[in-house]
Amino acid sequence: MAEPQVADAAFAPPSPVARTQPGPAGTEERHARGRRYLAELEAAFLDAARAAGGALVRDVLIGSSRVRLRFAGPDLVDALFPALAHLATHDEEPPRVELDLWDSASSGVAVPPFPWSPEDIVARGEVRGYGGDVRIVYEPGFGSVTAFDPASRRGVFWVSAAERVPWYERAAPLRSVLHWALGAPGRHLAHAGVIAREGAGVLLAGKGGSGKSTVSLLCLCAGFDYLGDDYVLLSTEGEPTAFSLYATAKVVPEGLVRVPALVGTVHGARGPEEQKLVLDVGSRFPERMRSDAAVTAVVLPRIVPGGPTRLRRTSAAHGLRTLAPSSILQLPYVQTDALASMAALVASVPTYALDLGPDVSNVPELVGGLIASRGRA
Amino acid sequence: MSTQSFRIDSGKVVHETIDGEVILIHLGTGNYYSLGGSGAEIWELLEQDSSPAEIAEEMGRRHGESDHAVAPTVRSLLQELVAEGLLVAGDSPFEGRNGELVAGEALNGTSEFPAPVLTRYTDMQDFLLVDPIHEVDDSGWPNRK
Repeated sequence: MAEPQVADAAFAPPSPVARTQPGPAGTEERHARGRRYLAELEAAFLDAARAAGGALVRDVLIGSSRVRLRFAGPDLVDALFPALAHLATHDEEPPRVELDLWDSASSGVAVPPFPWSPEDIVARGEVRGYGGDVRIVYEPGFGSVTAFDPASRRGVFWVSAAERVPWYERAAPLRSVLHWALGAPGRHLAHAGVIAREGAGVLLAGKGGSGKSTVSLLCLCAGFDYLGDDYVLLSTEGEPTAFSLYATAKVVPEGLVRVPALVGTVHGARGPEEQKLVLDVGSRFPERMRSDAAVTAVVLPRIVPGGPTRLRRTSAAHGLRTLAPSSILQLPYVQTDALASMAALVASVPTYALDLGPDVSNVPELVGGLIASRGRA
Repeated sequence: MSTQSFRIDSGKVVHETIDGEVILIHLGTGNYYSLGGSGAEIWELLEQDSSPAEIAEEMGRRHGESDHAVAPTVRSLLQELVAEGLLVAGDSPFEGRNGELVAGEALNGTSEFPAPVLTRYTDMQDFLLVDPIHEVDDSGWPNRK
């Protein structure tokens, strides 16, 4: 992908600022740095919004939480909003979470110089030593910065240019900040897909390549409702419930042969350097998008070459071992109570292994039967 | 003879026990584990801050074995958990009634005492081992190679 043309040094990537504080900072200093930098980002966003002639506002409802997205110009709306558009709400309720999003290329406003050095960026892009109670993540894949204050529930997302946002971020945008903003005891982002019928669904758990997307899309094509194939918001307070986040599906090109009805739904087909195709489920099947569903079973797909396609009851521990690690380890600023929450889920609903052989034509029947029996296959 | 107490590294390790199996996730390494067999019982006793001697005594009592018979297996498991970063050495050495740590001893059970089974999964390591260290380009800002 070509680098964006930098027309003005005002929005050229900044030089790193020399450290004035040696080494790791104390707690209060970290808090102060984080709050200072978030304030600088917010001020720069206001400049960017003014330059764009005003912010474009989009509200989405995720569960009971209204998230307000304010964009400084249309470029990031086009890059980041489509996957969330199915959750758009237009009522006048005040938001619970507010996020400001801007890019330098279209606004002409440079990002405030980063106060950290490359060595301060650790796993998952967490910026150590500068956040304190403000969470800051630098995404090394495309150079974005996300900062969020859990106390005020306000945050900022910046990227140098909208065209730098890669396919995987467009398919599942703002995961980190939604993880922070929406997480609570008993409520977490889960690396899982969910499909449903009449308000009851199954949660599909497994690492990348396990077949979550294939199962999700097979069921979608068979008339099931769709909440997502990769990330959902999971609540285990009371009846386990999944809330949709993204109206997209990610599938490897060769996986499309198992769901021929979706050929033609792919938007922005990717070149050889991209690993997966993004399917715009929300556009192709708007009537199938569902905002929430009760979770009646956990299903663990796995590819079994040459074997029969079948459901097998398995242990809750197997379910937890499959669901929890990728849900917890892939997102920055780990919520340490997430494991307990997911343990509560697998203790309350049955877990099944779904072996996927070469013939997957009976997958919708198997999953539909499980849903109809409320998890008792 | 010296003995050592151990504690769960709760700052780095999250764990849950379900259906007699302990699922552990090491937040620092990205490894996750399943601990079954008698390992789940031993982990429960560790959660209660039991010493190795106390664990051996209790496991012996539960399974009709002498604590001397189960001690090597208990100690070997504790060593393995320390090696994986799931346990850290505690602050207060204690006097125990059991033998020295036997390094490298296999996790064997007896006819009455099922062996602990610790299984490690490393497929999530990449998410923590990805090196975001950058090359600084001409503009001065690091870009990942």
